[in-house]
Amino acid sequence: MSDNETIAVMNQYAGDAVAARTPLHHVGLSELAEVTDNRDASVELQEAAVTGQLILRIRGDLHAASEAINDVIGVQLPNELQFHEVTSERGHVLIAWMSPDEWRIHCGLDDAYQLEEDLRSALSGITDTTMAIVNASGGFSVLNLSGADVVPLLKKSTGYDVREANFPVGKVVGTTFAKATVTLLKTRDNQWQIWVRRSFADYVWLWLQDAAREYGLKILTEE
Amino acid sequence: MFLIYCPYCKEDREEEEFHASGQAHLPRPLDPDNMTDEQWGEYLNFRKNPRGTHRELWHHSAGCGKYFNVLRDTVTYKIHGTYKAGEWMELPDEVEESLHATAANLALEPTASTVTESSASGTEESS
Amino acid sequence: MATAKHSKPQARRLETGGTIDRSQPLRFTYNGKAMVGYAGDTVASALLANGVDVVGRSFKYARPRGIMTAGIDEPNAVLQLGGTRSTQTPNVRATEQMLYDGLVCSSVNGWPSTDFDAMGLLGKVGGEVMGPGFYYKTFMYPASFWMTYEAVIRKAAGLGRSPTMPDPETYDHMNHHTDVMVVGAGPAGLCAALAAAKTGVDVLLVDLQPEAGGELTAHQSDELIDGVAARDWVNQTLSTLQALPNVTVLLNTLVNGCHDHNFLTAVQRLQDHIAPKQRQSTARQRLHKIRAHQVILATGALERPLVFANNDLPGCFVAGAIVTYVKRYAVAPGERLVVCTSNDAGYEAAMAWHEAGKEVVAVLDARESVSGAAFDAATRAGIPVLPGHVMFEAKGKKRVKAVCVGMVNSANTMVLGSVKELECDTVATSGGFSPVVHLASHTGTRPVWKESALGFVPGDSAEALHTCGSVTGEHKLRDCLATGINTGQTAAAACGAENTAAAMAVPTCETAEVCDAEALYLIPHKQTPTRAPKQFVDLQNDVTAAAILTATREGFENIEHVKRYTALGFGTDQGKTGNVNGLAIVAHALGKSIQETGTTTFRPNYAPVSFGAVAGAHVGPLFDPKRFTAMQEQHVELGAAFEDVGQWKRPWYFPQGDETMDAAVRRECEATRTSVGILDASTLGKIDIQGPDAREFLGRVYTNSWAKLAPGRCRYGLMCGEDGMVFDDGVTACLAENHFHMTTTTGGAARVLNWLEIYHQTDWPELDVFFNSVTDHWSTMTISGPNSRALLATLCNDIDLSADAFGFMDWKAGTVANVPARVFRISFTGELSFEINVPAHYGAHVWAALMEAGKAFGITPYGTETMHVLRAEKGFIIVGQDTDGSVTPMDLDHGWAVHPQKPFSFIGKRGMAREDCVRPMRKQLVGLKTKDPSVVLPEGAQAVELGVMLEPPVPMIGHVTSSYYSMAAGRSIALALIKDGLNRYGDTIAFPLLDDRIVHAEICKPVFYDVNNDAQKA
Ligand SMILES: [Zn+2]
Repeated sequence: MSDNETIAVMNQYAGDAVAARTPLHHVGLSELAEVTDNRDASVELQEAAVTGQLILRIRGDLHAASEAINDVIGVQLPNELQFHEVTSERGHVLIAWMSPDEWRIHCGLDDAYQLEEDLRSALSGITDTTMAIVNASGGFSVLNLSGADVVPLLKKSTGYDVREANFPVGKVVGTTFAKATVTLLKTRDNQWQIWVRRSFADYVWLWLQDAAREYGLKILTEE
Repeated sequence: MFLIYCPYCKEDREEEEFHASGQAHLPRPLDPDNMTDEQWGEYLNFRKNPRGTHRELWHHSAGCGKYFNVLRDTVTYKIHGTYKAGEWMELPDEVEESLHATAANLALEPTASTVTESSASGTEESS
Repeated sequence: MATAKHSKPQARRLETGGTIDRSQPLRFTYNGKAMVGYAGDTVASALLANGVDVVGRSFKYARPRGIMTAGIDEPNAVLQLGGTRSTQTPNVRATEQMLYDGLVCSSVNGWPSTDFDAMGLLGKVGGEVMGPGFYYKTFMYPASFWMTYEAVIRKAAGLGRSPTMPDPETYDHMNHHTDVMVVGAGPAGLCAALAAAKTGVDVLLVDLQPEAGGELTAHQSDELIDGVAARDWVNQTLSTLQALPNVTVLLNTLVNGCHDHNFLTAVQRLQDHIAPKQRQSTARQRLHKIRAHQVILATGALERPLVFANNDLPGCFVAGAIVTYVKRYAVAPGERLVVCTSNDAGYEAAMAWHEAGKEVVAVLDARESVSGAAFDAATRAGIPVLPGHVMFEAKGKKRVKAVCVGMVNSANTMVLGSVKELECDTVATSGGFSPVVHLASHTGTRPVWKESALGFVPGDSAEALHTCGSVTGEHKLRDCLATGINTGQTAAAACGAENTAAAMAVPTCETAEVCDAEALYLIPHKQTPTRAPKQFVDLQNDVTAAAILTATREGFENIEHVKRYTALGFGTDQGKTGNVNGLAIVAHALGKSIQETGTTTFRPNYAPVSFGAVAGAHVGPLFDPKRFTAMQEQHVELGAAFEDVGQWKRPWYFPQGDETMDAAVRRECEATRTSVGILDASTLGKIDIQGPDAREFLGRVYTNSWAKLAPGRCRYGLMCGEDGMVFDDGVTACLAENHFHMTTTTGGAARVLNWLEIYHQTDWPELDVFFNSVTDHWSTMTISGPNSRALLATLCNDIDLSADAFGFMDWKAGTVANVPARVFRISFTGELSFEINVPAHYGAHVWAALMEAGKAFGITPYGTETMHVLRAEKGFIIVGQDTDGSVTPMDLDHGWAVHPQKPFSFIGKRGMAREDCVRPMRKQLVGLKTKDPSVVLPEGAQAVELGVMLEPPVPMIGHVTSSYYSMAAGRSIALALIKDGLNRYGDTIAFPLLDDRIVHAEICKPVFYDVNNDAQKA
């Protein structure tokens, strides 16, 4: 039986006509961005637009799987606590290690279905290797944090060691954030990304506002 | 607050990222239907509570989501090592010695070595 | 009011000296009296400068007490701080609180007044009643009086007042990771930090004082280190450290706990030294949570006062405190000083006093032959020194007036010969130094008695923990500097630093010749301790030497028992001044060594910390995460009342206008039964299951069979524990041959996913299957009611919705309101229902579309309460409400959902076959119809047999699990777990209620609506 018959792959993209709402839509971040525009702030926060998110699970021949994935997105499977980013004709793709048999892929919301299909066909032929892909695009808020005081802000929020030596650019960890659980990435110097489950996004937003009070918080919107 | 090495994430993490899931190496019996009530009750309800080294199952709930084993001293709280589910780790030599000493001093029962042996045989049965 | 004898402001302030800023006077009030101090003062130094002798009344005997120390060990000067009801802070040590302009403080141990204490008149009587062990003796019976007694004691003895309004201050936490953490920024700690930092490792240096330097700063030492005065060397070293990028220095920060695996907690007082009105909006205090690769404890030592008769009189100080008040704060808290000492430290107090131009009446040195630099200096200054003498009693009422002095034998156990009185108003004593071993002991390591140091020192720790400086019992400055450097380098090397020895040399300093200390704790009196005036060991808890001896005579030999019997060391000062003296007295009485007697257990916290700091920012709206669905805004707009389900906020009901909950629920029920209702079901746990063994796995964790469930079909399943008890339920859809969509209860989502994972990861790793939570990815809305099909048809044209094409328990993929959706035809209401699942970023859009299109049908949003009523009318269970962890599927009459013939012995099968699970007379789920159909039984009501005598013990036969008024049934309905209930349909049982009503109800099958299930299959 082919993969298409045994797994119900579904195109979940509604097209341009229906807006995809981020978890913090209700906050009105774009209005807040105007309010905080001139503020003297050393922490900046931005919620990314909804992206395609695929949960990729693989067990077996990870080497072969990595090659197959490279063929599809142009980058290999990252090892423990690492993520890779690549920009190609399919746009910007990020792939992050989550667990020994789990990776997360960010892609265009409109590309999630095609990417899932492409990955399935690329991975399906590998011997002694089993895999699953789940579209989870609606499940998370992606928050970008930047500014001079992001590290102290993070130190107020997570018990994970965010010192430069332990947390270089390109690292990703699953950890605690206040009383929520998040995925934390360092994307560039002084630029961090938090992935939080949609239902917890409002809590994390409240927490960040409170914790950033002493540093000043500026809201950014996507370019 | 323990600092626990996750054998999957391959680094030390704060205890608050984990959940303890009780005694490790408790393989589910292969033929429950043919066990007596007493045998099933033993599997279901009885757990070791040693003073000294103990093998525990922990869950990296806020991290990679994997279950793994922790070899821990319940007196000093020292963690002798952690290892993946389905694997086994011998006690470091010096640990066994110090345990005998502790057990002798405190007239403990059962001794640490019997704890270890029975856990070990349990693993072999399941594999 | 005789608190301040000297009406002249700051009469006891010295003309010159000190580190206070005389250009910045600060006003404050103490017990309502206006006073002035200077910037740089603590409240204690300001009170002393203003001539305040009495700062409180003692806990048990209501004796007047004065300031005794200058630091964290202060047992007496524990004040109430704050000028308003909300800013009250109890248990503030005046010796640690920096003065600010407008500070308001009052004594707590004086009720109604410190100087003339009504309880004081009763004090001696009360004291006798509350003898040693009063916690046990006096209050053991009757137990119900305890609260009353406690209230009296609290009011009388004054343990401080809690604020009665919410705290307006904020608090937060900060996490740190470091290579080396150094606790204590005295000479040893500074050296350790610098030695480690110079190797390049990360260093975190913490000290509880606002300034570094420890005793060097407190005593404004002018000893030379590397050729400069010690106080300047301290500042230079601190500046060097603060300039290094790999060093963090936290001052004003109390390390209150040293926990497992080098996890330390420390509370930083960020704004306590600032007047409340001038404070920033940021946190008042910050709790630092520190994980250190290596910990260096340079916590120093605390000076022990000597124990003598009436040693609690105001005017009695620890010797080092006299030095600190004179040299750091420029306050001489009296005119005529007598020093009594067993070591060289007493001389420093005498010299400071003398140099301040005040009279030193005598230095009484218990040592018979004294020599060395301290002795020489005192003698040179013309200070009378009496070797081999002690002061065994102080005299006076609210202040020392004189002391009784005599010769002491060489063992320091007996006063010899004649005694004389020396007039004085101030006493300084030193019994040696107790290393601060608390932090080193928090993880269970017992301290070890070091005879050469006459103190307990830290024992060997299992952690990567080092000690240096006075905490090791080595008090000489040169040793502190050298061990500091050495320890810092050792710790850095343990972090992987190389070439550590080359990084820094030991600073040079002069070393004066010292005279060995002698052991002296309790100064012998002419009388026995029980006959002598009270000799206080623990001043905060009023524990006397006599009380400790009484305890040992009554058979308490274990030091932990003596502690609990006498309350020694139980106060907010945790016995910092009194513990070793108490141990020495116990040891002496038992004829044991101090090592044999041992110490009590040291536990966190080293000193009290505020609840605010512990809670941090996790208060108010941030106390616990609130989880919301993608339709939350719409629920709020519709005026929903919300219910907590785990961390989720779920609409409970949607009142219109001032509608009551009952009325809203009846309206929502009726609308759903007659037209169409809509429910946000997004909170249900959802797990995507893929893999060739998915089906096999489902068969193992559910009680029923999944082998033949075809793609496109859904099935209800029960999950049991290995004990056979139901713990979750839900509908799982077969999406494709190897692909399933499982739903769980809202509260059980995380538990079920863990349940699947733990079995897969530990017991059945050979099964090829993947589980992924998709709870947050899918928004789920259920439209339910006879018009739900017609409503869906208006928004969906790519699914054949006819009953033939889309049957009950089928699911279809399609498009709803232009959004790709999975639609499940399942029902929890018993009506025709469609559960629409769309990606959560489209959830609000689809909900809005359904509400808009639903107007034509009078669509009615309903909440969890209506859902509960509708499902109860059909007898559908709610796990956790109708079950409680002791209920098998058979008890629920859900045998149809159990397939024991499955080849694999599924989870719960063996458990539910145990003898107890198959016995007769188990409690079973049934329906109830009250005899009076308008009476709604309370949930939880206990069932008894009709006619049973209601005299305890009344045999209970079960209880109501769910109970509602049902519009559809036109009567009240209930579900209940009743003994042997499944065999008792038609029987009547009774429910005696709290209000004395007895409600009669008939046991029935738990289906009250549409018994043949026609509606949901329509
Ligand atoms: Zn992990």
